Amino acid sequence: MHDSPSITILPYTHVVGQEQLKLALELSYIAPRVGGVLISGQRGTGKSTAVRAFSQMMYGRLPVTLPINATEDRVVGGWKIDELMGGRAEPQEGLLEEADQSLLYVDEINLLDDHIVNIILDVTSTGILVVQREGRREQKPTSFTLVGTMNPEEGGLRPQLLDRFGLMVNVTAETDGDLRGEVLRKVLALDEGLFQMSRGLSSRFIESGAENDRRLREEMELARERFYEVDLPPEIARKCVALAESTQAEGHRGDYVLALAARACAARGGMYRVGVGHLEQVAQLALQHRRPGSLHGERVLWTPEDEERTREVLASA
Amino acid sequence: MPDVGVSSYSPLVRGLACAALDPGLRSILVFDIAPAELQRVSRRLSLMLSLTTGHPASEVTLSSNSTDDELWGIEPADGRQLSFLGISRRGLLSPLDDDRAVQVVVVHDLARLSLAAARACLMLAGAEAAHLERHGQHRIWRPHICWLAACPSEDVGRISPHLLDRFALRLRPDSDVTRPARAEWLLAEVSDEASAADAEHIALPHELVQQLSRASKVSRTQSEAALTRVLRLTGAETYHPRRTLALARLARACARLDHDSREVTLRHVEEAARLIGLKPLHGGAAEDLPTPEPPRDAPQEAEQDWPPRFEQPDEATGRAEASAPKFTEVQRQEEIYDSGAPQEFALSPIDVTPYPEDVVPPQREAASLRFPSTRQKADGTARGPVLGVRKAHSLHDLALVSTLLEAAKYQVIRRLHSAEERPGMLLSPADLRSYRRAPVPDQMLLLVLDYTCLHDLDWQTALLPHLSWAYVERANITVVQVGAAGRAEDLRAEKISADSILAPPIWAAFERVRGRATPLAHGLELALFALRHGLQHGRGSLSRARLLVVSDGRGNVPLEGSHAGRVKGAVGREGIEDALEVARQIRSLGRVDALLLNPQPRLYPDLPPALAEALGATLETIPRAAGGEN
Repeated sequence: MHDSPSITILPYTHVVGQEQLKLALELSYIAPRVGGVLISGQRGTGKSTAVRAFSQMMYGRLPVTLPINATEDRVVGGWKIDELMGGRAEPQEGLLEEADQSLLYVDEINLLDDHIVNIILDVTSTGILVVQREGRREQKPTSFTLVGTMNPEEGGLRPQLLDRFGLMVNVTAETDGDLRGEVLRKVLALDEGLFQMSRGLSSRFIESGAENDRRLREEMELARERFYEVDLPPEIARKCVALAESTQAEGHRGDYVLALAARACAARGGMYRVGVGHLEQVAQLALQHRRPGSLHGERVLWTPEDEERTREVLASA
Repeated sequence: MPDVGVSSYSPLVRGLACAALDPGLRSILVFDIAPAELQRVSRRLSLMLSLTTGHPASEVTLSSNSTDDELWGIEPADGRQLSFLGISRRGLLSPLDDDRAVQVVVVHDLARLSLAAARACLMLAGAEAAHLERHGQHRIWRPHICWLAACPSEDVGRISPHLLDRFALRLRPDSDVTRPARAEWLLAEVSDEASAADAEHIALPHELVQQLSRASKVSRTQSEAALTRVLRLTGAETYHPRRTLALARLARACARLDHDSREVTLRHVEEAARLIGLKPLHGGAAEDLPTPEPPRDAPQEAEQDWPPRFEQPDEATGRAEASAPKFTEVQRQEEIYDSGAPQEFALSPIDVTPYPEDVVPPQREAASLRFPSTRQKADGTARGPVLGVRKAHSLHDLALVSTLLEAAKYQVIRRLHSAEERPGMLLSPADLRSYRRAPVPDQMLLLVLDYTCLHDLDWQTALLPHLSWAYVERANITVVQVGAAGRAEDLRAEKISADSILAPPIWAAFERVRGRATPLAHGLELALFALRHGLQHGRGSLSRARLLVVSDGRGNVPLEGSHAGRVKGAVGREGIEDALEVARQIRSLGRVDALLLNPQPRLYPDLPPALAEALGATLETIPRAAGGEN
């Protein structure tokens, strides 16, 4: 049971800019088979804030969070210590089980212990959580959307873990002066709202955000319901393959994730057919971390040449 | 007893007051502050936080050997179950019973904070929510922590910028304490049994108490002009979102302390910038700024006995009279902070910038916040500092207390299912825990580079095999620079050390050029001390060292001259003989594989072989660089 206390955070609809980040989170909700989102970027760009806000909006609570110093018993499950010391063996579910059919969030994922990374890799690749420790022997099907945030200055991800993420977002600080100002206003407004609430008063800022979040959640849930009603034409499927080939995407998941993400994007927009525009919107998200070098630990970058190549492939027959 | 010599308006105190008001500022980094003074600052801060939050504030201190278990504890939420062991296993950072109480977490030297504590700071500082998932513990809470860390400015390169970015408020100790004020403080110190220097006896000035009490009940909105100024002050070219937000919050806190103001104005932004040491940009054309607000009169303080404010003492009486507070609002026209075009800050001196990490070269390894790889030559000894504990796979280096605590969880169940009564604890191999230690190099590469003989030589190629060896062996590396240009003291050699060949200062050493003198004897002496320390000192002693000397043996500074910093008269062969003497001492150490790279000098070609013999070193020649001559 995931019981997070009531902690007021910035409403998702008050998150300014970061459109790619928000799109990736929304697509991963609409189509969980996309396989999770890695958010990599500069310090202070609101990565963690956006993830928590998204979870608050969609699930009504903070995401199940795996901190970087988590011990194995809390990750895969163990025993309730207080019961154990009273002579009763009562299992305590771990974070991976808590996150089943939901979102598992790892902040600073590139700082995670190798041992815990291995556990996550096992579960995400097999879909089965195997608990064989401290006298427990269980296997449970487990499926969650893995969302990780990281600052690449502190090191990259192991290629095996990088590959588990369906989508990857490179986050940079806003360059638009107006947007920077708006970011600042929103955060200061949240501070003010929290101050008012601490004095027993209400905050219009927070209330309006919650209301907007509610509307957006309804749209997202509708998009998720309609996902399989969205048509993926054969020519779009061919373009997915062509795009993956043009970027020399390693492995076999690139075109698959691209197709899923494009479909989710169409559903998100209320469309019933995937078009070239949807592919263009999601190509970078689905493919940038699958190129040669990325999976071997080199810095991931999507260049203007990549953009141009994408347009050329999409424009060709 | 009120705090002597503390002005309500000193930048440091003002900054602390702002942090006490605004949760977004409760990650404070103070540069170049003495440990004793940091304790006093911590105490003041705790008092302020108690005042503004209405809840008690406690203090904890993190250190260079804080481990995850110490920080987070290992007991379940209610904390009772391990009491039978007589051990308190609540962590330093575990959530408090009173979820509104504030903790002041003190770090005396951020550059030397343990890896576990640094990672904890990364997780908690500025976080909306904290998550504890360790050893059966499952807690989620909003942290009410105020981080107070100190760091010498010159060491900031040792800290990850990712961690530094978490510190919103950058302050420095007050540098404007007048001599009379200091003298008055001394008089109070030596005459009062309850020493004012004792952090326990610190109290806040009455006026500050009043200010904080008033300010904690009010809020202030930002004027658009103030917001725009904040955005411009924190740069267009080098935009750091957290810095912008911190300055905006600081300005807002200043406005809250300003009883007469109803909103955050340009004046408050100015004040905030001054508090953290942000300087105005230089040059550029004036822009169409809003009309500067009229300067305020200096605040009139209610007369009070304590603390007094002092002018220079009267010459006749030697006594100083109380006067107006020495911090006054600046009575001047508003300075120009920006031009029409984006410009970078002129902040090269590290002692005038709140963000020295932008100018100090990195002195840390890459990915410094990760637990180090365990790939290490196994030498059968447990030598590195403890980072944590892990499940043991052998009986080597067991963590006994952690093992017992692990076993404690199962005692009742084991006894229920045990056929016989047995005294003591029932242990199982699964209970065993061993220490997880930081890798410690067991070999050293020591280079003595005589820059005055390196011209026209391909010496860097000659070093490559040895550098490769150091990388593979994870050896630590020391470079002794003899006769390098750009040093203030030509007569002395300089030593730099690093845990790895990849450290930036090591590579910078290979770029140096020749200087004016050759203090070879001093350089070899530094090498001797480094070898002795590495081979003979403490538990971390090395198994073996590789010494590489690149020199023509022509030391022209006697050892005494290097020690004294000056040379008297002609030196003759004194510098050479001193170098040979130190070399013989190195030879006597043992466990040193020495090699001398001979630059094949035309003058005195017998010196390099003589030096090699004194060192007990193998002699190799350095090839000429293509097209070079000696």
